Amino acid sequence: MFDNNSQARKEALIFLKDNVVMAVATAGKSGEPQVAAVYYTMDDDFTFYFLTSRESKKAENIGSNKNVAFTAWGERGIVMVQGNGHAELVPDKQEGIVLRISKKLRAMEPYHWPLLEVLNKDYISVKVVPRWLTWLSIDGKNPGDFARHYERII
Amino acid sequence: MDDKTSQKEKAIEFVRTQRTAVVSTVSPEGEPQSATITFVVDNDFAISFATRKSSRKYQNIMHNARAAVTVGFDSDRPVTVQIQGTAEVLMEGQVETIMEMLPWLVEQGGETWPLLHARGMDFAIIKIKPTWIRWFTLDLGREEGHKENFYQILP
Repeated sequence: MFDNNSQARKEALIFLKDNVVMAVATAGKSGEPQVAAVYYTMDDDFTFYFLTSRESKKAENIGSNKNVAFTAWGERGIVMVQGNGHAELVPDKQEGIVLRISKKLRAMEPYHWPLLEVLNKDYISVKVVPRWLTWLSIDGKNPGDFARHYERII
Repeated sequence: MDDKTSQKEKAIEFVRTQRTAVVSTVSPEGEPQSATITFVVDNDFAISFATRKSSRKYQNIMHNARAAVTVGFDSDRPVTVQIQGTAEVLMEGQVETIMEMLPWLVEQGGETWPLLHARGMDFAIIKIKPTWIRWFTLDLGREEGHKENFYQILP
């Protein structure tokens, strides 16, 4: 599935591991979209994890439709990741996920919301396995045709 | 000015400081799709953006006009505005025509859009009229707890 030697894959992985916030979109039963910002952590195979309240719209939507879309981008230059994947609600809090996200956020104290409250509230973690993922980097390139610069990572 | 109106004004003020948002649409098969956009917002909180007619978001909107937008992804400033609404095509045409016909785009920052790099391509201007708006901010005091910092702007 992966081209492990792909420069684009390496660049996308570095960006995503350094980045902490992404947009996750879900769809409700009647086809209405919802999109929210989440803190996330990820594995080397691009599987990522985020936390959400069990009562959130995201959790409700994923309960009925496991398709999710995600987008992350950087302000320096123009870099962006877009993809779709399969989401799975992980019933337990999985403190390991909390700790991994906390570690990424450590440099940004005191803004650790909502992690500070996670252990006291009914949060769950969500695992997302991407079905496809594209990487766009036009830093230093002519942005004339964005489509030319998209590279399929998955 | 009531609290809701005051919060709406503050939320619009925040949104206007942002240059990028994420728009989400749903495909005919029920799959969500998300993409970054550069946008403008009016006083009624309607979000307008340009997209190529060949894009998935345009195709999705033609099938299902419901759309969602989130603004505010700064990792060091936890403020976000979430919007859900109905999308409509404001105008279609080649970039040059759109820029000529909608000078307010240029006045509100359109000169920085990727549009100027896409001469000759078929674009559409999409406007999302909100039916639901909520914003979250920690700037108002984290000690209150995050639940209390969600403000329902619409309905």
